[in-house]
Amino acid sequence: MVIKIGPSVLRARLPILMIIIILLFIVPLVAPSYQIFLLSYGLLLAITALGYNILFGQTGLLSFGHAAFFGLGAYAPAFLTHYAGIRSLEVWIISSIIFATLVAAVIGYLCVRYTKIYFGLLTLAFSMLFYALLYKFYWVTRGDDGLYVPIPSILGFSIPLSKSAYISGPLYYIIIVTSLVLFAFGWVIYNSPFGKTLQAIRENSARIEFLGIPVKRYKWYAFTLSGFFGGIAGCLFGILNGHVNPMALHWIFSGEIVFMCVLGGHRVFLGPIIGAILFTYLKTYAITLTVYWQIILGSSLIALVLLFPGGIMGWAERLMRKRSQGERKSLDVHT
Amino acid sequence: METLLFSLFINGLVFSSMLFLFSVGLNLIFGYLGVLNMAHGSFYTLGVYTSMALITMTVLKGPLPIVSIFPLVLVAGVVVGLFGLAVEPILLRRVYKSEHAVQLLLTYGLLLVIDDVCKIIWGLELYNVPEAYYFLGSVRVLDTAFPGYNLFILFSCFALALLLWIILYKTMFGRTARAIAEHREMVSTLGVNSPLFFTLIFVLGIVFAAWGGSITMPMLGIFPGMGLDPLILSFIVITIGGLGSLKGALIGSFVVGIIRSIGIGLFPEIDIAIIYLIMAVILLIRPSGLFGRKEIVW
Repeated sequence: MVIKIGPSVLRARLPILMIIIILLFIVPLVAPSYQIFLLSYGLLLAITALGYNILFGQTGLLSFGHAAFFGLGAYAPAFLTHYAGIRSLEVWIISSIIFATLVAAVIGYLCVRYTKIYFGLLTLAFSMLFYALLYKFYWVTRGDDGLYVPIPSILGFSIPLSKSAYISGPLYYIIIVTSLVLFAFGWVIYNSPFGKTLQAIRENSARIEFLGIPVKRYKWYAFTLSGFFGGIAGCLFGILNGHVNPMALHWIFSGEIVFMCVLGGHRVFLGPIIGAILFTYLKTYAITLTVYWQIILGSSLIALVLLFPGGIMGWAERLMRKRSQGERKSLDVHT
Repeated sequence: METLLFSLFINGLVFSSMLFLFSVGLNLIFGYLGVLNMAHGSFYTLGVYTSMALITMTVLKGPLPIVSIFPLVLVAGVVVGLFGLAVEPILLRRVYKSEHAVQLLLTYGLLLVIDDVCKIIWGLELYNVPEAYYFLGSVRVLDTAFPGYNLFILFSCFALALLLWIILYKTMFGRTARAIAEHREMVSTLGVNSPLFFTLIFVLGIVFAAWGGSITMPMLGIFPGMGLDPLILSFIVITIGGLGSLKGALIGSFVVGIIRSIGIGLFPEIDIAIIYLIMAVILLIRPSGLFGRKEIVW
């Protein structure tokens, strides 16, 4: 089943889109800084999940190791600060992108030869290898304690703001702009011939191979692209959090990324974005509500998988299709 | 140096036994049911807590003599297995035909829930019930002293592995279960209640996970969420050994247990990294593991 979202759909929803964007831009004027932190965090996870979904939802490859690219993207600014004394946002972002994308390209090249559960386990092994290295090489990475990430300068100008003012001011706008640009990029990929090829590979890779399309190379592109998204999100996460530690690469976080995609609906473009933001709030409020937050998260996961396997967006879409079918039926009656 | 290596080897062997019990259950469930059961880790945790509770109630604060620790740790595993009778028909059965992501998320959700139930019942504190560990005293081999309980672990692991082999290969139950895995419709037409067999295989799998926890309980520090470590290690074990292979689980646990022990003793900086590296290399050379077959049937 292919879900059709063409440019006409975008045009129809343009007013809603503009309202959401404007709302996002005026949030810092009204919301407390903790809410802005949470929203920023949700948006960064949305970037990560959207990138991951190019691999998972679109190409149909279940990776357990996506946290590696997010984590490596977050470690790049920390290493640059500690070992090169570079505190410039531009250099950080570019080096995070290069670092995460290169590692993704290498790991992806090795992994895309395999399918199904073997692909998942291999990506798990590589991501945990990086986790173990960062965890164990204490004298370089300070292990479990992690590394501190200061406020970077922008275009050579240092920013004389307190951390909370920085988060609800400049950093928030950087994150908003970055995520809007990347969401648009993701949308272009989703609707491009390249994206359609990935979706066709998911549906039937043997047929696509017979059409003369190099399936493995396409899978490799998808893997590298997902690493690119993860790297950018990780870099900004390091700055937002002010601190990185190896848990950002742990398989539990990889699993949470899969959860976000399935929660929102991994077959729909908007799914991972909505899933990631919802997941951020769900987890944060469950944690503040009770020490037994895992029970809330776990039982909602079980309920989700059993009752709404298509995720929130999949469910909404089915509902809308049912309604439009009903309308068509009533039209038939009138004519 | 020799004595150090020898004691590292024995410790590795003990750890391998625990890992074998754990991963053979995981592999059993994957081989027959096709589900990579993330909740396995929480059944291990349940096994640990159940055996702790049983021993505390009946031996440490009760009438039973201390020798009864040994049957009790085995009973604890079977008690945990009873949960499987509910979990498989209610939850797992619904996702056999779903994609892997769905199965993993379901069992991961189950893991989170069971871990928190442990937290609610037993609290967040760290327990230690070493009485059984001290009770057997120590054994001297080659100038090195080992806790006698380690011998019990090795022996019971061997006996349980033998038991599993007999169940799977020498009984009607095992033959039928393998036939179902090979060709389900065909066996069902012969009048076999195949859903029941799926439930029983799942129960058997988690009983082994719980045994991995309950038997080694006296030497562990007990806390909620302790099942995550063996879970991730057993993923390595079954990929090294081969998904869905009994022999693979045995060899894989041995490799991972020994390397982990030697790594911790001699190269503490890179112990875990080496295991992941070996896993990645083996998967790249032989994606189905050392003993795995393309189609997963035991």
